[in-house]
Amino acid sequence: MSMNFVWIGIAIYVVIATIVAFLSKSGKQTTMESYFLSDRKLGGFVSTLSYSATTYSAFMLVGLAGLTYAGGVGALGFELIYLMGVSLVAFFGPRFWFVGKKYGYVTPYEMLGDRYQSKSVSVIVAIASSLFLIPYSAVQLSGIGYLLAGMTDGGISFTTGVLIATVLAIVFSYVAGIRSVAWTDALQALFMIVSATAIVLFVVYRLGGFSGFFGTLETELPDLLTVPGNGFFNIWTFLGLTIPWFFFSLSNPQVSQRLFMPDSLVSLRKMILGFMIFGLIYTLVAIMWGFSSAIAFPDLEKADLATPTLLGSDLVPPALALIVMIGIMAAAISTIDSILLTLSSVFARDVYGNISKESSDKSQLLVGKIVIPIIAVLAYLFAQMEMNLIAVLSVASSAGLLVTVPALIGTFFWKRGTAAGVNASVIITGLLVIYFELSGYKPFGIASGLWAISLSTIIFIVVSLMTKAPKEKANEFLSYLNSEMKNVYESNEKSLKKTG
Amino acid sequence: MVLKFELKWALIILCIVLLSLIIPFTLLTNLATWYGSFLFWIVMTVVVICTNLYITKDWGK
Repeated sequence: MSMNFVWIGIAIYVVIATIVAFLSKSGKQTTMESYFLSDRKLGGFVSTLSYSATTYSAFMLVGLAGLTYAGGVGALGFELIYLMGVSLVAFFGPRFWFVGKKYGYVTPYEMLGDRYQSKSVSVIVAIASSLFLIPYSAVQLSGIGYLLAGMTDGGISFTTGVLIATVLAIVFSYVAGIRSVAWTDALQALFMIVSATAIVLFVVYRLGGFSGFFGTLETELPDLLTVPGNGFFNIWTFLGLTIPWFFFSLSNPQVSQRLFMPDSLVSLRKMILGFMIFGLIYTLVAIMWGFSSAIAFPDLEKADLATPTLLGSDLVPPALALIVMIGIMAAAISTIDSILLTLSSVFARDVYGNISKESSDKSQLLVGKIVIPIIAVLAYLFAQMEMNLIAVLSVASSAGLLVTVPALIGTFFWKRGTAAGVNASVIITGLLVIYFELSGYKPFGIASGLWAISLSTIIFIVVSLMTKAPKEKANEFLSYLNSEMKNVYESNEKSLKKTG
Repeated sequence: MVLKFELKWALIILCIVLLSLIIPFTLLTNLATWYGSFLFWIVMTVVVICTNLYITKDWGK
């Protein structure tokens, strides 16, 4: 692909997105709530698109397409069962939203600390999630580096690619905090879904249309249409992938923090439903992309090459390939900038806010703003180092963040949960996940994610039962929520009583 | 705590998820067509989306 052509494409993307970032600025954002949560006044439309862009990273058109290439339709099942898991938001979303407003929580870990009445809970969970999410961002950055270098045959070097992505992520998150992140996310989400869908339709058409496409799969690659098929997706691999992702909407702070932001429950509802529809379409697009590669290039050495090979082939005209490339870049950057912003709020609020004796809302905001570029530079350096540990932590992130799930469920549904229970479950299981991933050790052949969720649940329950629960706070917190939730579902509860 | 209405729908969604785990690995293992696991998972997802549409219908009213 011509270098000038690629640079013009990237320049157009950068200029438009930067203008949107600056346009999103409104009023002075002088508090933590305004900078990191947009004063809890985010509308339904922007919330939906931003949630979608944040959730879906470069993984979809590269990693998921690769998984489809390697293992077939199981990749669809794994990603769609994740999407079904977003139903958790239908139960947890309004609860997050109500307590966020009442107690003024800025981060999910601030909520945990308050609910379990322990600063150490906030600090420990905040550090644990940074440990997994910074390497995850680094891998997204290096993904952009590889993509740009690969598509231009080294014309844009790996380092330049990573640098462009880092600078953009800093700009999008720095200009107006969550407002610039949300608005650039919204733009990028629209670009991602429209471009990817259009191009996949085009490729499927060139491969014989719907019937020709599936006809080829059925006769030449039938294993790709079933599970376990060629054996790649055996039930344990499938569960090992699916279960960590099922809880993604709770375990990943860059998305769970979004539950504090919508301006109303109506907007929160639009966000979940809109996201689910977006997710279904985008997943199908990524799967069809992977299938297309398998039909066109059945003998690739590595499944990771599925997307670059298809993009570089005659099947996709250069202009369309450039659009997909920018779409993948946008998917990665919109994920990184949200993680960047969430982690800086987590550091400012939960780590600095709890450790410093003189912390105020103003000083936390200052710390948060200082931390944004620092985390970005850290991710940039990690992306350059290509250390084994970074890759391992990134892969482990979905499993590693699972260790916070029992504590989050306990927050809303279990009065007996204690701070000691949270800390023990997060520290012990978090370290175990890192050990399993580093050593490649799979006890009984079971993936680390399954160990993470089951062990952290057991430890949380056992240690909680042995220690003293914050009774007063738990009662007040849960009875407030109970009354709010009853109001939400008043008519439904009444009709259930009548019929039951 | 969990309301009855929520519990009922949480269990329904759980059943759909379990079916989505079990059926493709049992009944559909030999159905190598687009209307096998491919269609099944899409239909199950649409059912879950509709369920969410229903559960959340009174939010904000």
